[in-house]
Amino acid sequence: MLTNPVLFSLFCSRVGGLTKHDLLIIAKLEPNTLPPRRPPGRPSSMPSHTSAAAKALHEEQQKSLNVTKNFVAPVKKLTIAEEVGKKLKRMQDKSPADFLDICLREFDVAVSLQTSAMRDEFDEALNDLTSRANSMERNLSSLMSWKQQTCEAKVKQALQQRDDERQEKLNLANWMSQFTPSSEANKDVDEVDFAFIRFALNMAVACDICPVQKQLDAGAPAFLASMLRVKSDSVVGPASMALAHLSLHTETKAAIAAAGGITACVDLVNTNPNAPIVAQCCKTLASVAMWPANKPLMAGKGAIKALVRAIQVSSLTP
Amino acid sequence: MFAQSVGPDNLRIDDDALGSAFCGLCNCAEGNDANRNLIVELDVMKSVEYICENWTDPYVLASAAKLIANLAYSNVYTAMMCLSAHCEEALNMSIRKGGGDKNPDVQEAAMMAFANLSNNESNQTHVGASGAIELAVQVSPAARRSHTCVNIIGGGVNKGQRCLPHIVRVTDTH
Repeated sequence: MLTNPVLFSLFCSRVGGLTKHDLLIIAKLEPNTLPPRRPPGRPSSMPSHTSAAAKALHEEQQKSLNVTKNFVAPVKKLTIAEEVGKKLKRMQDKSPADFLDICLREFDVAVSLQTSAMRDEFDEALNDLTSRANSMERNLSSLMSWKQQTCEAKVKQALQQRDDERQEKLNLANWMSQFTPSSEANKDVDEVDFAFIRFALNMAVACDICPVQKQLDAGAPAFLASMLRVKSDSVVGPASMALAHLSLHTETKAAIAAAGGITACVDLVNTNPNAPIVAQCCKTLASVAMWPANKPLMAGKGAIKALVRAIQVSSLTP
Repeated sequence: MFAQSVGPDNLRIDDDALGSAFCGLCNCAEGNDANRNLIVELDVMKSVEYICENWTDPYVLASAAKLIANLAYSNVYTAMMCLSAHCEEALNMSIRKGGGDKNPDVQEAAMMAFANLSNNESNQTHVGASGAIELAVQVSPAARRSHTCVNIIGGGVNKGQRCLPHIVRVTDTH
């Protein structure tokens, strides 16, 4: 059997997957340090002749090292199959039955070592995979939380924007409903009046958005002040409101006074029957009066007298 | 329940217009002695006193109190005219009904008016007799934090006040 090349080649092919590292482990393996798991149906003890063979091999290597002391050749890594093959070659003189037994034991050890090594590699790969999966899970959870926060912020922003727009529409509706003409006023609103109404409302909205200097350069105070002299209350109302909004800016107070805004407002406070228009004109006068240079002008144009008259009229007992 | 608008012309002058008119007079009187005298000479004080006693709108009451404060600031004549129109009693009334913890603006403005009205010993006696000191120590914490209480108790004087008109912008959310 020892000299049977078919059996030998079969054995070598079965243990051909082992590495040199495994082979060295076989060489230094002691019976007490065998791997815990073994293939079923095989003895778990290590054959004693294996360690003896390893010792012999080690001694042989030591001798060869002593001989070639001055020259250190590169160590070739042997596979388990090669190592076992070498070992079996040295035991060719055994009887066929013994040799077969040795072959089987060596085969069992080699397979056990290879299995153990593969299990270790598999465990290591599994641990690596688990850690990667955990890391990916953490990344995914953080990504999901970030996405959720972003979505919540966007929803909040959208709701806020919706509320703002709704309030803006409500303010516009209130503005429009405030300036419905009274019974004495002219109810006929033609296309030109409607254009002026839209213009005045747009100016009221734009006073916070458009730069003040741009509005001054465009002559907005003078135009709005001139709109206060229109006979239709439907036009005068939005114009007075736009002028009141415009007068909130410090730069426009002097311009409104210079454009005749004080006089127009005084006339409306004295004569206009529409309460919202009177209120907007009072607001314009109050805002314009904050400019120090306008204070004497207010007295001269009759604004103080008109405001006092409004207070006196409202406090008269019926 | 006090009426908010009792005059025959109440369809033309509502509370918003009335408060804004007070604001306008307040700003005209701020820093201008001639305008203070003109406003007082136009005999507005009786109307102010009547409105302070009968109106409940906080904007109107606060604006009227600021007008009194500005009229009485650094001017003995206008302060005396205000006191002769019983404005200190009207301020007391406005604090009691329109002030309270809900409207600290009214309290603060009225305390400023008291402080400015008390610009000489005679006026201080007058204001003290109207119960202003008692009100000053009873006002809400919002007004007690202000310097006006210290001024009225210590006889100090506030500067002229500017009154911003209530203008609802289109971008206002409230």
